[in-house]
Amino acid sequence: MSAAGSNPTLFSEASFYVLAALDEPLHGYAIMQKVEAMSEGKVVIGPGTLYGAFASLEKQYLITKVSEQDRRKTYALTDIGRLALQEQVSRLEVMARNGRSTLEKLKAGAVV
Amino acid sequence: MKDTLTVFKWFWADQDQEQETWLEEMARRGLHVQDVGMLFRYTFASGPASDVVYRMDSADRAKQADYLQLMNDAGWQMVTRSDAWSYWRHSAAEARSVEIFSDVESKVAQYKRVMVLHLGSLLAPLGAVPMLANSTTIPMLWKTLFAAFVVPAVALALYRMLRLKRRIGQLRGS
Repeated sequence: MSAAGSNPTLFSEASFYVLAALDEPLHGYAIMQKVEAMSEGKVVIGPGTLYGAFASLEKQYLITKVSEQDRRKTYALTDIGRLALQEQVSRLEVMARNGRSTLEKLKAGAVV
Repeated sequence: MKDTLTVFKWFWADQDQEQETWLEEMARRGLHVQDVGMLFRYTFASGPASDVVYRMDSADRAKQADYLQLMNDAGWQMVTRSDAWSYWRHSAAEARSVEIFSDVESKVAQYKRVMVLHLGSLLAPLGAVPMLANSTTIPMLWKTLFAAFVVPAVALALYRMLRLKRRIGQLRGS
């Protein structure tokens, strides 16, 4: 992943969902559970993967630690993090739109 | 009847999956790993047969309190640590599979951390080489003995790195 503000690629599913889960500050395991709920059970981030995502996102200053209790760090989205999420969402919307359009054309043009 | 069992079994660094499978088979036979020591020495305690999941991670993270807490929250208990690995147990009560790493790149990153840990353990003997080579007071016998140890150790370490690199390539290729 490149520096915040210039993301030529999509984030990994795990990193994207960490950002998307932080509409409120949350700690590690709570984020894991929330992502599973948000994705309707489809995305279960392993704790090793999640820990690495936290380190990477924190290094890019997309998330920041706001408190620590009982050995659990609570993270929140930073302003740059919010912008990065916005950019990822826009990119995904274009992708979804293109994918949907192709599927529709295939359906319309199909000779059964 | 013995309460503990010691087994010596060789696994290459890229054979973590094989280790995990073997430890799970042992647990189903009522033998639960307690310790993984030097020279591939596994110590088991006997107990009730159980259907648990074993997974490994690099050893370095086991020093971080927030990592340990996150793993515990997710249902993982650390069994033991070796030089480059930490061993984790999860009750397989839920039907779905449990994994520490849910994507390829984070698993690749774990193998890279293991490589760094193995490289670190090479530095001490390697660091001694120039000192010994230049020394005129240390007897030739000692130098020869040291070389007899260091050369295979370095060769082994390089082969280990090669295997890990190959494993990473396999993961990314699939």
